[in-house]
Amino acid sequence: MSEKNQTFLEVKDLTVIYTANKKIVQAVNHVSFSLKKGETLGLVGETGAGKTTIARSILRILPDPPAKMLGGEITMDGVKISALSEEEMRKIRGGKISMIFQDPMTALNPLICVGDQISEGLMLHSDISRDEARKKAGEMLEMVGIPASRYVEYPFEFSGGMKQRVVIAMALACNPDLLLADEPTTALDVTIQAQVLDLIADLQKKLHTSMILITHDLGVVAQTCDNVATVYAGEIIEYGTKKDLFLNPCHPYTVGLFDSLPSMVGDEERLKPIAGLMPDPTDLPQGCKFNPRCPYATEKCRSGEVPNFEVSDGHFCRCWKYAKEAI
Amino acid sequence: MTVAAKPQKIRKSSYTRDLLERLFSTWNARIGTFIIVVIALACIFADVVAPYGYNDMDFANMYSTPSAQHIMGTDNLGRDIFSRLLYGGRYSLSLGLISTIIGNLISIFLGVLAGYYGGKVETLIMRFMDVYSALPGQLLCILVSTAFGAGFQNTVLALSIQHLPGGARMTRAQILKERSMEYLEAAESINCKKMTIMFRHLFPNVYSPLLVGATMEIGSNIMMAATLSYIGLGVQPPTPEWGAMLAEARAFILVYPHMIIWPGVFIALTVFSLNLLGDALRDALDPKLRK
Amino acid sequence: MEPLIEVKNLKKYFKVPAGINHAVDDVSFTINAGETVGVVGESGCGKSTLGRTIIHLQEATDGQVLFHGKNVTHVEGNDLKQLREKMQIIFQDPYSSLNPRFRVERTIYEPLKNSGRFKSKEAIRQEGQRLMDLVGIDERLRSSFPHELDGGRRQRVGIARALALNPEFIVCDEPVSALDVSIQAQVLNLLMDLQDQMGMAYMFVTHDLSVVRHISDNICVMYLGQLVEKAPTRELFRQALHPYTKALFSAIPSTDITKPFQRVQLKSELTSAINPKPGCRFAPRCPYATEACAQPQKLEEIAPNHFVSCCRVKEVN
Repeated sequence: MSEKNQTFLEVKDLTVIYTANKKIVQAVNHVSFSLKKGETLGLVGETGAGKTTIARSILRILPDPPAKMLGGEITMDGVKISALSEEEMRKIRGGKISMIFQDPMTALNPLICVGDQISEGLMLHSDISRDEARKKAGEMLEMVGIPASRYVEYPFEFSGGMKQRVVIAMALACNPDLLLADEPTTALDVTIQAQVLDLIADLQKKLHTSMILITHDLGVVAQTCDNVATVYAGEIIEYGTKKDLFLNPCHPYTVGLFDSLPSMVGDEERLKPIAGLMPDPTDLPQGCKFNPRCPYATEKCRSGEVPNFEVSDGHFCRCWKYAKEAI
Repeated sequence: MTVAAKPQKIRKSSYTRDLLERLFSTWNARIGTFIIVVIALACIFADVVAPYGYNDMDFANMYSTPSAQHIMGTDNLGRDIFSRLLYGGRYSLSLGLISTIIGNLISIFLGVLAGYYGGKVETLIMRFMDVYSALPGQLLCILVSTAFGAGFQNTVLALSIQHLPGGARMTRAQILKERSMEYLEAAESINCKKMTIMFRHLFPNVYSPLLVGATMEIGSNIMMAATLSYIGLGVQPPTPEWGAMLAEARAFILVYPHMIIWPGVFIALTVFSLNLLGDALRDALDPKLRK
Repeated sequence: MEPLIEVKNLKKYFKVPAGINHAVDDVSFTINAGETVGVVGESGCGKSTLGRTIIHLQEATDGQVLFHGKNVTHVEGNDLKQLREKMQIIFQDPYSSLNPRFRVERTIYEPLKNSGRFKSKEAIRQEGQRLMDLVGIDERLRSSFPHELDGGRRQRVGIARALALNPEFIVCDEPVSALDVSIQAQVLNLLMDLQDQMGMAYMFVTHDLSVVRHISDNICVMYLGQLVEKAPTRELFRQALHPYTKALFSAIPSTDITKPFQRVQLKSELTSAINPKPGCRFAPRCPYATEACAQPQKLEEIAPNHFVSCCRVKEVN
């Protein structure tokens, strides 16, 4: 076990492509980040930005073909998981790393009672008897606020929020070191979302799990994350602590995201949307991927890779605007 | 990958062209289409292609096995089997095709009504179909043919009503899947007529699996037509329908098997190629594979 | 001034296997010409059904809908046709609300054709092109199929279709909830601009409070088929009175990280509106519920134009 404050998960130079109709989609481009024990990293971005692909490549569940991991190194707890065999990976999946999917309806098998779905995972990953696994599964249900007496009920007997709790119980049953939560509350109503977010935060504190939270909802990030990374067209374009990003957003895209939200305080006549659309992933623009939509774009932005500039300690931004601060 | 700037293409996409492209990229579709087209063309132009008339009797060469003169041999009356098969194909193929079209028109109409309106209309149609399907389709065919007498038209009638319950049920199921789509409500809100919504908005979105079913149904109708002829209820001799030819040949099955093999081969080839085509069509129409 | 639309005690019940679903139960409110009324609530609260019942996509079980003071609850035939031209709808899902087999142009031309207002094909084409210019659909996309467009553009097509008949009233059924934030802002701006230009009234159905705050003049909050609170937007955001509205407001994750989160935690989850008991439907989850809440509740005017349906509103606040 690594000490606190030590890097727990490190993703270096992750690059993933999809091939569709003989066209190449650059889903993830040289993405690097790290995560400390017990910390939460939020990946924010719009549909198709590549957030889910990043999470799936950590878990190595990308559909291959069409997806292909071209490069990158993923190290967790000193183990290079990107180099493990499929056999070894299977032990880690659902054990040390587990994932919560967006749609609780499809993540549960409708024909198996919820308790057994949890205990099965337990038996697969730890060497315990069926009875013990059942007992533990009951405890997990209690932990997420479902009476253990509902162990024998089937998914259709639960409401949406309850199902998502079951999914969370399933994901946390094996005490994972890393939890990948892909839009865990998007399908839920706000009052239920509030319950589920609180639940995840509580459990995370209790079990000291690290988490990567994928969402498009900046409010959810504000509430749960320690660090935030903005993803745009397969790249992390801004990375920093929650304070850095929310109080001093730097990249024009991050700023644009905040501006397009209707505010809950103050008055504004018109919203300020980001001009244009997400670029065609098969035909990304040269230079900064955001340059066609960026109000500040200059000649420099239209060619060559934009390096990562450190705006302040630990706050990185891929934008030439911050070039002088870096030097 | 080169990230060269692409010129903005204004491509007018065409659903049909896209579909055909995908369809004929598979060998199943190519082979199926090839066989069926060759057979159909040969039958349509039988006057040109066939070496003999279908009723030309060559008494010098009765029961002859395949030879240069008669490539598939002759039958008990010295008629050239190959020529008879080509002329007979006109009946067999058109029986299959016409009865499938008529049957599907009726069953689709009923199925769309039942699926779209629901409620009493649905209950009425579907319960009727339930009663209807209590009679096995083949038995029904035989019943109709016996009741109305043999002949081309009555065979068409018998064959087309055979698949009604299945077709109506399948159409209804497809409609129900699509029924909750909001574009139907939208069509209603912009004052489209019910018939327009049903047959111009809704139906084009559900026809694909029905088309696959219909393609395969042609094959099974050809077989059923042959069956009817075989038991003497279909097209009557001397009209050379494939099933009728089988029936005539059955007396000689042990002595002159070629008489029964060739019609069998033609039926099998046709049904096989239609099934291949249907399969390929199913894949090509799969919306998940659409670009 | 006479309101454009007056909804009086509207009810819409559905028969379901478990009993009768009171999807919309005794809802009354008014919409004035050119204004926007937001209807907020969680999934299953009947807000979409309410909108669809008002514009006659569904038949009301009981109650009345008045349009320009005329009772139009059960119109049929030609009257219905005319009424529908005045009342349109924009749907939530830009994927299922456009016919996948119709090109963009055909989708827009269709209502124009049905209206019978245009004499020639050329007139229809011109009007259609004008509409597409209005909502910002690029010329090169006009003969595309919906699956070739992104969500924001599809939603523009849906908006153009609704505008085609020159409606006075449009139900916007969560028109932006399926879109990404940056696109959402574009569509919201478009909707507001169109309202400024053409002066139609919106009923804006949504679960997103920040959106509804931005676009609405008045807000109705629904819970399980019933109206629990209605007030002008400013008033409601200044002081929400119903316990459910309070909980709803507090549950929205704010992007303001300088303030600590204070949430009213609700017990359990949304029950259903199937065979409801009389009395407050929120009571089982309400932190302030008492026995009095088992009695039927009445919408009362607590402050000017601020209506709340809660017997304990005075004690709670």
